[in-house]
Amino acid sequence: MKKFKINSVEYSIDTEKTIFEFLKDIGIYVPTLCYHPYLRPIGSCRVCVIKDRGKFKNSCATIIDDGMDIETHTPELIEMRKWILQFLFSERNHYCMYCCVTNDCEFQNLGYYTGLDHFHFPTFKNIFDIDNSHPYILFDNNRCVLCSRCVRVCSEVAGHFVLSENNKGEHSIIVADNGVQFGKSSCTSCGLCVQVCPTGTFVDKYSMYLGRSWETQKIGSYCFSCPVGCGIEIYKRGNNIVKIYSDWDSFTKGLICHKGRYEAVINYRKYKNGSNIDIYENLNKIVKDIDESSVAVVDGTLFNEEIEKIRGLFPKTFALYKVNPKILDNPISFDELDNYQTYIIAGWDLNKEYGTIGSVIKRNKYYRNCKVIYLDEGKFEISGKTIFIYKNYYSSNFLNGLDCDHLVLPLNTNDVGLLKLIGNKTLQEIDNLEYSSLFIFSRDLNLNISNITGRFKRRFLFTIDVDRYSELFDEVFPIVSEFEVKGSFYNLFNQLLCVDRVFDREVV
Amino acid sequence: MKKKKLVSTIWCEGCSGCHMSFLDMDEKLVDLIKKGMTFSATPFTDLKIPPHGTDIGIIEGSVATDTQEEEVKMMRERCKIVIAIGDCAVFGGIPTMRNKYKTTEIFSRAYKQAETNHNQHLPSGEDISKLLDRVKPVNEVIKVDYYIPGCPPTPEAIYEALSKLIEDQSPELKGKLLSYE
Ligand code: SF4
Ligand code: SF4
Ligand code: SF4
Ligand code: FES
Repeated sequence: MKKFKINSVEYSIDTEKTIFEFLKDIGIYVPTLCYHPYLRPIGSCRVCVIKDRGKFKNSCATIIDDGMDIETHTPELIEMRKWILQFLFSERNHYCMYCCVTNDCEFQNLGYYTGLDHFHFPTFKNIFDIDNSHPYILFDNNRCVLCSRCVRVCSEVAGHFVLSENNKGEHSIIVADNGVQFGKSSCTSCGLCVQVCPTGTFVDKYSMYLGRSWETQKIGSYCFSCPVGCGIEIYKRGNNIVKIYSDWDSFTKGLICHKGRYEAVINYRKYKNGSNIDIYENLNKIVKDIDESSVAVVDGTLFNEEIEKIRGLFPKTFALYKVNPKILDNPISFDELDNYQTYIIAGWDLNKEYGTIGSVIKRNKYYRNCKVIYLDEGKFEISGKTIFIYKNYYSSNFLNGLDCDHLVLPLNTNDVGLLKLIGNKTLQEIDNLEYSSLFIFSRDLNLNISNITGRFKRRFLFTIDVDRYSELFDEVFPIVSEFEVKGSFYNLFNQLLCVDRVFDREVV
Repeated sequence: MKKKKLVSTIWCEGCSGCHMSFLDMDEKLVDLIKKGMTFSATPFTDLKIPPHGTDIGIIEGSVATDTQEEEVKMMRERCKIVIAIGDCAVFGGIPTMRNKYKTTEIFSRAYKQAETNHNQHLPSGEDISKLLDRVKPVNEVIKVDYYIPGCPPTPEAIYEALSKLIEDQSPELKGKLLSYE
């Protein structure tokens, strides 16, 4: 049991806690900057300074000890925090009125909190090039306060190890791959650096000027861009998605990849127009066209409820492609991915698909010295508890007999649901074609269907991108994007995830 | 009766938005006058030079030329209290965007490469002010007593500061009155 005092009041704890965490628990606010609740504290900025028995200490990285006598808001400390802020605002470009994060900036808020009303030290001392080479992220070192949150999130959380600090003193900057242009670096565009940066150094190009966080509505959801189904927060304003952030408190613990953060937003903006009629409404329109010779084909880009509805309307419903039934036996949860010593990868790229699984593996490789083996590398040796992670039907015969767990990565988001509701029989497997009209339902933007449409007299498609396939079909109907439906799906870990409708249909 | 407080203002490298905000105090200006404020070099009189012994000197805009440097020094000499008003005077503001470039580059862009400038003639002459290498906030040139940041600051923030000064108190901007946006 540790006994200590805060502002002359006695407390005691028997767990290990930092001073800052304890202050937060008892409702005493101390400002912070480099501290982030989901990153390892490094105590570098000193904004959270407190005094303990005559010594100044940072509260975010100092563990409470027996006998401490802590002061938090004496005039001396308040004055000291003001000066620390003055140093942090010096040298660079914190001219808020031409910064795109103004009025939505943690650093600026600290200025307001401490009553900073001018700069005491010169600014704009060293001027750094603005890096606009990244497709999604604007990177301006002139606004950096060197808190290193971005460096820590890129390594500790995302496992990508792209960012680091370079140079010394006033010349210090954040660099990608030790000084490569950001857009040419190994950055995977997970955007976590943007999410944690407390300044306007890393900013989302697709979100800037569309609405500050406090002007948006935040909706908790799950990413529908791949079968991991990461926890996300959707920031909506009017009928637009301003940005998507990862949800630190979900099962994926703040992980996200470029698909969920950026591509989903861009696609939504591109295809939302004209697609504000839900799948059920359009189904009603074609019900009269359905007879015994009609067949429906669906894929894992649909929610369970949509698949069920279609299955109920058609005499026969098939899957668009074969889903490996082994996905139903996927043995582990997302958390348990951390428990292996060797990861064997086949048929997918750690940095491009199933991005957050890639993050977990890369993190383990670095921090726990685990082994990562790409099957196409040829000969290999495994050690310790091993997991073989492969995409859908990757031929894995020669791994049979190897003592390891298997994790199948399905192609589309709700392939588990597809398998459970429809099975994995495809149209191609049927020789005698007693069906004459075909109805395909999919949100896939890269549908591969030319090989199955040929043999039907009448062809209907329900899709997001209505213009793209119109030549192949008699009629193409729009379906709503994943943000305009309330529904559920199974991720690859067999978790049933429910999402709410983010946008209400515009009533026309 | 209380002693009158004489106010003067000047406008350096700024857009006049702060002066507009000053005028936007509207009926509050009457209130200030009733409390004992009088105005010399301001938009009311159109005088440019503050008289010696001015009580409160208000500076809008950053310091970007040698003339402005002299002007703010003159303000310091002639005014008992100097207030920097607006983000340009307080921090340097929008004009600091040019600090990324050399003055020769700026002249060349504005007078030689500008799409609308056909005679490509660089202005010259003794009566034209010289650009300083760097645009500076006022407090890099003279001592400033009080700051009212904001782009522009709200009439409420300006009123708050002046009404405190008239009572010989120190103004302190808080909450909505303190803004750099
Ligand atoms: S990063 Fe924040 S503090 Fe710096 S200029 Fe931008 S808004 Fe102001
Ligand atoms: S986007 Fe992700 S991978 Fe790229 S630098 Fe930022 S944190 Fe690292
Ligand atoms: S870029 Fe942002 S997160 Fe990274 S060190 Fe600079 S201010 Fe901190
Ligand atoms: S927040 Fe504690 S040192 Fe930065």
